[in-house]
Amino acid sequence: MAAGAAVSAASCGGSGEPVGRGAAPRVVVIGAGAFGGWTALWLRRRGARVTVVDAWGPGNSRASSGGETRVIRATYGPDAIYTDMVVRALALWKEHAAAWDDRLFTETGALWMAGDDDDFAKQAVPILRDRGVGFEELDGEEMGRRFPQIRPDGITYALHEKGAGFLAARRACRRVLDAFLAEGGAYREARAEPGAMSGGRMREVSLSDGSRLEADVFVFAGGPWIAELFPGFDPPLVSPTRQEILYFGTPPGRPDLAEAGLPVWVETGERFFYGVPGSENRGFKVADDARGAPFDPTNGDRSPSAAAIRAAREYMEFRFPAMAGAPLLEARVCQYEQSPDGHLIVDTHPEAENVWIAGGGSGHGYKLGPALGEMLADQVLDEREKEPFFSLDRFAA
Amino acid sequence: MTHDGFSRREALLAAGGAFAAARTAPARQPIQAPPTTDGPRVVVIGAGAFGGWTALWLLRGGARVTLVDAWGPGNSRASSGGESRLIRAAYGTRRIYSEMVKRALEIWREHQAGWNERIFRDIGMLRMAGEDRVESTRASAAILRELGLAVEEFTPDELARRYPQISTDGIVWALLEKDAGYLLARRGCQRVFDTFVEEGGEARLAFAAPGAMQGGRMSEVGLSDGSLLEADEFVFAGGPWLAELFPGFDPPLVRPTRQEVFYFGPPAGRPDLTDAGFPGWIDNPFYGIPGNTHRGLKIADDRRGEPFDPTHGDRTPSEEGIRAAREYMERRFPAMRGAPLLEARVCQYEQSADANLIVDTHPEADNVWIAGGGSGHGYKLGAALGEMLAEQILGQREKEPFFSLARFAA
Repeated sequence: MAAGAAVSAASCGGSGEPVGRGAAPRVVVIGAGAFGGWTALWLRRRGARVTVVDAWGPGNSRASSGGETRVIRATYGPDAIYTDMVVRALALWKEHAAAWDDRLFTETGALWMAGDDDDFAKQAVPILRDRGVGFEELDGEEMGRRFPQIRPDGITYALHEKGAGFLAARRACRRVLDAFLAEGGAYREARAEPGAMSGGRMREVSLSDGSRLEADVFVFAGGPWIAELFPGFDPPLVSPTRQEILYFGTPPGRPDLAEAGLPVWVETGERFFYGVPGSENRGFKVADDARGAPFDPTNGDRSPSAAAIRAAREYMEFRFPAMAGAPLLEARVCQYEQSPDGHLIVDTHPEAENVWIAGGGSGHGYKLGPALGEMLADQVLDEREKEPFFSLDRFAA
Repeated sequence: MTHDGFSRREALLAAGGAFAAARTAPARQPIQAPPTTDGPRVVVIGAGAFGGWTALWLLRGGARVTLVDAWGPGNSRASSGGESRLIRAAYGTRRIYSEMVKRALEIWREHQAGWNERIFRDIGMLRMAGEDRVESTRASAAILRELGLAVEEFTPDELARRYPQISTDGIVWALLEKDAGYLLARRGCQRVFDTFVEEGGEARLAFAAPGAMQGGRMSEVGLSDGSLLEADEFVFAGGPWLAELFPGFDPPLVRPTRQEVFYFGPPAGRPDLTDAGFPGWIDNPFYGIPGNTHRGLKIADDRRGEPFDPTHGDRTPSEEGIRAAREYMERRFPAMRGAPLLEARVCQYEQSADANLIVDTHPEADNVWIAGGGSGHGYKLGAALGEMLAEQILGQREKEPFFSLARFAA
């Protein structure tokens, strides 16, 4: 509802003037990724005066929202809260992609493959059914018949979520920021440091160009940098881990190995690999979801490792026999910013009620951005209660 | 090919005429008249900068066009893949390229307005000339002025004042070309492709092999899905694969060489090391592009690398390549010392025997056109090349001798 109105306002150019200037709170959002960007856009649409700050720009190559593609799927095991957010997020992604004339979402479906040892996808079935998310369940043999490009060995259960697909990650971050600017937001490219918290509030942040930004509310959507920004937490808010993404080249003229003929896929259980076919003609993306070594998102070297290439190739050649001998075309080294329990953190800082922390994407946050931003904007503006599932309290032992 | 995969693809083709990724493209009105039903049938092989633009201009010239690519527009094996390309009109004394670039810039600007995407980033291009490049750079400047393109010259002192982020060691003269910058390469291919499909072109995802040439003509190409495509004219814009498609030439039409491209991460909050505060540059033999939609500072070595197989070659970046790029970068941009490598690409140049383009008909078939030999500088020319070639194919323009195959006959 509100989204449609705001998008059309943007497409008409927007007025550039904050709504209700006198009363509108000033908000500084640190981080122009999927969480910060969308939160800023929704805050702006709710009338706040918003400045976004990012050290290297939306979807940059160090950011957890960087990289080319992200899976979007509503299957989330037993966690209905995420399924609900994905349903909302997917609607928003589609609506905005159309308004921005950019194919940010590609619908391929998502195929979950599991052996007897894992029931993550199966646990989602009643939730998907209840929310009206289209899916079908296949046993290993049916899956092998339906997708003969996949070797079904060891797969006893597959869930095919039909409306899922992938997002153009870094490009969408830029689109969100462009929309935010078109609708009257401000942007600074600088590193921001939290100011002092006293009397339960923060007054300002300082920027790497030497300036300060005062505001009524601050939102720290700092991805892997959240732990550096707020080092006082035990356990740390997030622990960044090194993750590798590899794009292999399909044989020529094989749409059954690209997005036209293969869904995004996830194999859970003993190992957890996932992939995005095609990825806008980049190749057959394969990634190992297992948490890697600790990683420094600012200074860490992002050269791909021989070990990761070997492991991905071994898995890929087993599961997708037609990819045997496929050349490596591209690689990325990114990070997960893992929260202690793998769930998001969306809460105020215990020492300052006007300081919001949004993070802990833990390798599955990107897709949720539009819905998270909408929820958080409402919370920041006191139009909605905080969500206990994402609270910081849960880490207090 | 699976039954399911095939039928789904066929359905997509029937529905939109586009393959794979184009299927969710928003519908838009054609900006030109739809193709006539009696125009010549043309098959274009290769959806890169040359093939894609040629197909689009042919369609607009009234031809019925099918565009074939093995992996899709701007794919990661293609010479038009990768993220960004310099676009600059400075070409030494080779004025024909300066003119083509001027036209290409006009075409990109016109089209991107309709795409709602800035494929061309007008950040300028700085040529940093050492002693060995002063003469060619001066020649470029003269031609640019004649063409009405804005330039600014710098002595090393002036350069150091204007761009304090660079160390001017070894630079004796510099030329800033203002109507220049960079193009988003693979995005540009995708947008051209989408436009081609929206305006009524047909696309096929397949590998194409030339059919027999008899009586001075080719009548069909064979596709990897087993089908044959007949046409009146064929355009082979096969980039690095041209030499495999037509192996009979001596010297070979092109020789693919392995090239590496690196993106390094600037310190935080340094717009002077991004495209907000620095132009693209050529600093022989290195060149670079700042920003790249927040990917980092791109550094590449223009020297021709080892022979490379564009289909099967492994594209893992080499330690030597990273080291050489870093050594150059840290010398020229002191603030980048210790900057982490963020991304890397391994691509290829498809080098013609004299590094100039090849745009000509095949000696054995006058309906077979060869467009290639980009030699590491072709991408930017695509928009103008496509327009020129479409007119040649449709009999509205003479062939350009500078790009002829006859020049290689000794």
